[in-house]
Amino acid sequence: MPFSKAFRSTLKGGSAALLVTGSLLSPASAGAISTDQTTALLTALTDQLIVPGYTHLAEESSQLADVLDAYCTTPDTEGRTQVEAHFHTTMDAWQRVQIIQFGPIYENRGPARFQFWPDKRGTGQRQLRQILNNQDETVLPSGALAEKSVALGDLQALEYVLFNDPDVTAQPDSFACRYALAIARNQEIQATEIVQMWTRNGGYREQVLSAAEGTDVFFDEKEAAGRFLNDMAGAIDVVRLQKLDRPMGLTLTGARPKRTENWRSQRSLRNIQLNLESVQQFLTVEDGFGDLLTSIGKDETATAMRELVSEVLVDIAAFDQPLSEIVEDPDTRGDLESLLAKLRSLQSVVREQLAQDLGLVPGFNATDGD
Amino acid sequence: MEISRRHTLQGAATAALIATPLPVIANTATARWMGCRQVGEAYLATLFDSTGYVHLDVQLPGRGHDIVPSPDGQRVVIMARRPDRFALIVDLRSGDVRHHLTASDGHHFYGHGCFSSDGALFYTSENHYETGDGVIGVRDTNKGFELLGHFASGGIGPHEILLTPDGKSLAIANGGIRTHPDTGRSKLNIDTMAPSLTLVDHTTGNLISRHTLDAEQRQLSIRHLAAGPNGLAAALQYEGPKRNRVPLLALFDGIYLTLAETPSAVAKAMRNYAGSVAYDASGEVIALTCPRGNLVSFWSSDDGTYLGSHTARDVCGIAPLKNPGHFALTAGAISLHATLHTTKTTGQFADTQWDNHLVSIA
Repeated sequence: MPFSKAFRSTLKGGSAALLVTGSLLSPASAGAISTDQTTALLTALTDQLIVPGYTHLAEESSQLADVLDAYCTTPDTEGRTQVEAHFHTTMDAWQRVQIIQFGPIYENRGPARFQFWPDKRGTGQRQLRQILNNQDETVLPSGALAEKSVALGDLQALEYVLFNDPDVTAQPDSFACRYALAIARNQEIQATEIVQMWTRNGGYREQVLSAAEGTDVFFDEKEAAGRFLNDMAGAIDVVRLQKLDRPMGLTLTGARPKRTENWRSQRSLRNIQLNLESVQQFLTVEDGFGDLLTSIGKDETATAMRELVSEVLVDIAAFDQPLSEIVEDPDTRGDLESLLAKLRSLQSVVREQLAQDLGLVPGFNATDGD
Repeated sequence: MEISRRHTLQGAATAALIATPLPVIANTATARWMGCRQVGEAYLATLFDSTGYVHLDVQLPGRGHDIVPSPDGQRVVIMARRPDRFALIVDLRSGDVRHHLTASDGHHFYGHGCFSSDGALFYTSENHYETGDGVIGVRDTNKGFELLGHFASGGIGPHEILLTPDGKSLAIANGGIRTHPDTGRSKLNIDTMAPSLTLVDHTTGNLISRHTLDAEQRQLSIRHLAAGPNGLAAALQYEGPKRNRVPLLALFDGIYLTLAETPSAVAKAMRNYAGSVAYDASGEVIALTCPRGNLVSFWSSDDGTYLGSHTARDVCGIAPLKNPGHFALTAGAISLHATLHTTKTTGQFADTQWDNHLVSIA
């Protein structure tokens, strides 16, 4: 431990004793967690998951653009296979980081510039069809998509162009193929920008890692840790409500297969799997939430979460039809119901047990401005 | 599945509670308080005593905020939490809701109000939200709290208001933060906010004086007030860069508004957010609650010297007890009594989340 850090914790111990004159009313369960332990958690999640995750997204979208560039000139079967494979690895990379709900992703035009979904009113798709029908060349110049509607330059648009009718991109130098290329380049630029915003001097990575001293956006390390906890709970929320509940409808007759995410490229369940694998990594990465729980004697919570998330991942892997079919299949739909129930349990462990163990439960009176 | 079942049970329990109102027992042996709370999905205003016994639960149409007793002690006004628009007038003897007020068109309440010293008028802090002007609504309590008119609060975002101890003017904490119901509780002017404490003639609405902190402290929102024998105490909430640790108590002696000197460890523990403030019965001690810091802190009203503090999870509501130096508090699901040196839990309330404020009921 560097001298300055040791000195700081000594000072803190001293001042805390001076501060509290009376008894501790509610024994704080988080009392056992040191600033250094929480900072280790923040460092682990940032440096092992977030920054590599965004970096990976930037690399994948760059490769996708390169493959598309070649395919647009010579659209052969081999090229098509390459394009589809790289579309999937790019979407994989996005789905892994989709659960991050704070920081640079919220600047500019927010997460929708990577994926505008669900498009509940179909406005994005209407704009997209217009571009394709009119072969509107204004979307093609470098940087042009950054100025247009997010629904024209995101991964949903790319999926539509590539998978709605594969023939439109199969002609040499077609408009649709060049448009797909422009979207991929737009994604590459955006992802690179996010990486820079995290990693540059004074960037968001530093805000998170130095949260304990107080920064512009974090009062202390606990507030930053709370953001990561919210990400886990929020990701489960999105999977439950938007990715499963909404396409399922209340009953079999209310099922809406086209409300499943990325049904055109048949990867709805894969997205969910990747989202939950990210939740799992928040737990299992070295110095992550799991290790922190173990270090304060809360193994039970760690075990409960690990078991639930593995169970859920096994259940998802066991499906052998696309989600768009399962929601309408009376034989397998029931399995989704039990998946939803497990996700609810997992979510309440995160929001209630984990938050309580780590002393990160937001107070009823802690909301802004009352 | 467990969750929804639990919610249903809570809902049923709450419904039963409301269907059979508890009799209001005239129990003069113990002190009583009233505060708003959430129980399951229900919002209530609750009258309870120092044994934790609940005398009355009033069901609210939404989350409540402050409760204002009338000078004669016969009734209370329960104010909605901003940006809601309801206020209920409740008879304390019968527990009946006598009037149900709604803010006038284009206005919403900010959660606080006060009576004139004779009880004839009731004042509410309000947002005229198209212009963003802070206004004070004036109501005639003898005519069903009919609205007589509005006057300017002298700033944006008036929050707590109270009658100065001489009974002649209204003291208004203008938090300085502009909001609009269309954007919920989002703050629209953090870069230009200019909080103030204004004194306004309570009969004419004329501005008597406006008091501000130094320019570099303009992101300290002045939100809550308490009146003591020699001045006012103001509880603050900080909107600036989170790296800064700032004082959250200001004292007003009638001329100057001054920040209490705050040890840096205390400033850190308070987490830049105070929720409520009260003087003790002697007027010598000020208590400040900080729900984000889970801290109640004590200060000398004489010169603002920091005296000490206790931790209590989600502590916020506070009111003086009759004994000098003693306070009643609500924190999370419990009520407690505290002095500078001691604390004692006095009540445990099932499934309860106590809200920001607590008032003594005679």
